[in-house]
Formats: sequence, structure tokens, C-alpha cells
Amino acid sequence: MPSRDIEAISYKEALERIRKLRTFLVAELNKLDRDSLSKGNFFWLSTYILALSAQEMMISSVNDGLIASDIPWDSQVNIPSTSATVGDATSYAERLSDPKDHFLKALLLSFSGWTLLSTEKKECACGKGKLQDISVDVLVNTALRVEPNSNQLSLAFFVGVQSDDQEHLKCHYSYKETRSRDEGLIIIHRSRGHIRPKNSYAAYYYVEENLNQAEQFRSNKLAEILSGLILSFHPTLPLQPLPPL
Amino acid sequence: MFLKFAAREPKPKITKADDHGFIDNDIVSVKPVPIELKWDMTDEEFEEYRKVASRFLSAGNMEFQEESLRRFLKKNNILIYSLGDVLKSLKFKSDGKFILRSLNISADKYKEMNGRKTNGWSIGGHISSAVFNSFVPLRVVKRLNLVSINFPKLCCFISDVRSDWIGKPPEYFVMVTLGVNFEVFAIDMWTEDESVVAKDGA
Repeated sequence: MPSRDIEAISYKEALERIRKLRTFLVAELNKLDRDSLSKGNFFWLSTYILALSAQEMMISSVNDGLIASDIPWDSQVNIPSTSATVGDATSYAERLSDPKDHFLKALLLSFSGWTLLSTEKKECACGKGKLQDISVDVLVNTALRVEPNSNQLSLAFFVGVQSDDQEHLKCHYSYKETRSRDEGLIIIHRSRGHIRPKNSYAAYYYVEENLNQAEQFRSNKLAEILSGLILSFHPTLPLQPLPPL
Repeated sequence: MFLKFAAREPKPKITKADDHGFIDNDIVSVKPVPIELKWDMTDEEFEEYRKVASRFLSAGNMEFQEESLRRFLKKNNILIYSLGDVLKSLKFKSDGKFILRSLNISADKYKEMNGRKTNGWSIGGHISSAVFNSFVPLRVVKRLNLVSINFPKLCCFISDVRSDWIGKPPEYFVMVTLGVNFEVFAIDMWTEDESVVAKDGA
């Protein structure tokens, strides 16, 4: 498989580029109408912005005048390498311990797999003929990927539900996906899109590809949370100090 | 190139998160609630208003008529069902195939209630019209008589649920309204299992 054009750049250069990328994407997100945002069409873009913000925080915190590491940069797409972004976002999330940072932590950890967002008590009569109380776990997962020989970053954001009540999973949702590798979980929201660079430096195209979701998923609630996190991205406590060498 | 995203395997559940309300309930059983008055005045004040209204206001003053209907339902302990819950329940139980008979509301109101468009015409008739020919408990008929005697312009319609679920009895709601663009009150519900003899209370 042909390798991508990954260059190692100084952390200061990386910070500058990440800030430009993030600023551009946030400005573009702010131009979108509220209806599209609340429906969930751009959740994939919002979570990527959060990941970049976390990466920026991590790079700033681990590098200084004494420690200066190089950061891998994908020159074709003009973004930090996806593995570096995922790694930094996850590392940052794992340092968050305040319950107030629950949503930020869950959304950042979603880049490394399904992460629990909410555990809900619901009334459901699916397949039962009468209302019964059941418990439903709501999980999130973000996938990002650059195809070989492509200058495009593709992202997908998923919301899934798990429950011991199989009738609920089978009947409750107007849209659902099941996959063999995600046993016991159904996907009720999937939004996808991609980002690629324009000719000019630090400018990008972004394209929403599609959105599939169940009516029963309150996308406007998640949209509000994402919007608030992007506006005020800073942890409630400082990052934990690094262990001594 | 079509990109396929394979969502990764779920992590084992270690702790539970809080309930943040991302998922809607599907309400398949609805409960009646006390009616809410719209006009901020006491019953005594409203009676004073009525004296003036009957002499100097148009007999067709529909806002006044609607508030009168609300106060009448409240005074007679006729609980109402939230229309949104009723439609959700009917839609859920019938896979979206329920039919509203004798509907006398505007196309916009129908769309708002039903979530789908109509061909733009209003349909329906008055409560005196014999348009519903299935079982109706005596309690419901007495309730409709009580309301319609006091509100001659009242329109009534009844839901007719067609369910594909074998063995599930159909469920009916009766709704009254003063006409197009006015509030619709669901004032009773029943199933075919009920006795024809009236039950007391709501």
C-alpha cells in the first residue's frame, strides 16, 4: 500500500496550522442555519473540531522550551495525521475527571470506539402491550479516515443504543442499523461528510454527505451540547501533570 | 470511491451514565389531564365578561366560545387527553394507518396534528351527523350530549384505528372542536372491550 505524504513539523508550526484549520472550520459551522445544525447533519464536523481543540491543548501542554517534539502532518490533506489527532484527543479525554466534563470526555473518547453518553430510563410498550420501565444506554462513536491516494478526510459520527430489552431495540426506532461486529447495539444516527483543502493555504472545502437518524433521537439536544462545547472549550480543571521521567 | 465506515465494537459497560434524555418515549398509553384555561381571570370575572359578551359582542366570537368550552369542560370534570400524545399513540399502534373520521379542521391544523399533508380541503360534520357506526360506550354518548347541548356549534370527530397487530383491539378517541383553526380537545377514549353501560368519572 502506498504510504501517505506525512511530514514531521515543529510543534509551534503544528499549533499554528491546527489553529488556522480549527478557526476556519468553526467559522464555517457558524454560517450554517440552525435547522441543519439541530438536525444533526454536521455532528461529524463538530466532533472533529473538538478533537482538534483537544489536540491543540495536548501539544501546548507537553511542549515547551525544554521539550519540543515534532508533530506528524498529512501534507496531502493539510491536516494533522489522523492517528495523531485520535491519540491526542483520547489522551486529553482521559485526563478529564470532573463530572462536568462528561460530554466532552465521551465525545473525545468516541474517536477510539463506542463510548457511553447517557443511561436512560424509558417507558416502552414495544412488543409488550403495556408500558414498562426499561433501561437504555446511548453511545457515540466517531470514525475518521483518509483513503490512500486521496486528499480528503472522511468523517462519520454514530449514535447507538444498547438495551437488555430486545423488543425495544427491534421496534422503537424509526431508523436503525445493525452490524454483526456491534452485537447488541443498534445505530440510530449516522452523519457523514468530508473535508479537503482548497488551493489556498489553510482554507478547506467541507461537504456533508448524508444523514440517517431515528425520529426518536433528540438531535437538537446533542446539537446544543456540541455548540456549547465548541464555544467554550476549556477543561474545568488544569490537565493532570505528566509523570516524572 | 464509496467509503464504508465500520463502527467499532462496543466497549464493555463498566459504569452507568446519568439520564440526559436523548431518546423520546413512545407513548402508547395516554392519560387524561385537567384542562388548562387560557384566559387569566377567575370564574366570577368570566361570568361578568359573559354578560357583556352576550349583549355587545358578536355571537360568533370564537375565542370567547373556546374559553367558554374550556371552562365548561373543567367545571364538569371532563379531563382531556393531550392531542399530541393521542396522535402519537394512534400512529404507533396502527403503524401510521389510523383514520380520523368527521374531521372538521383546516388543512394546516391537520398537518400540524398528523404530521402529513392533506389535499387542502376541510372535511367533517357536526356531532348530530351519523358518521361513526362502530361501538361507542354510553358514557361517551352522554358526555358528548352534555357538551353539544351547551355548545351547539361544536364539531366532533372520532379516531378509527386500524391495527395490523393480530389480536390487538382497536382504540378510539373522541375529539371536539369549535371549528377550523381552533383548539381540539380529546375528551374520551375507549376500546371495544368496554361495556355499553356508562362509567362514572373521567
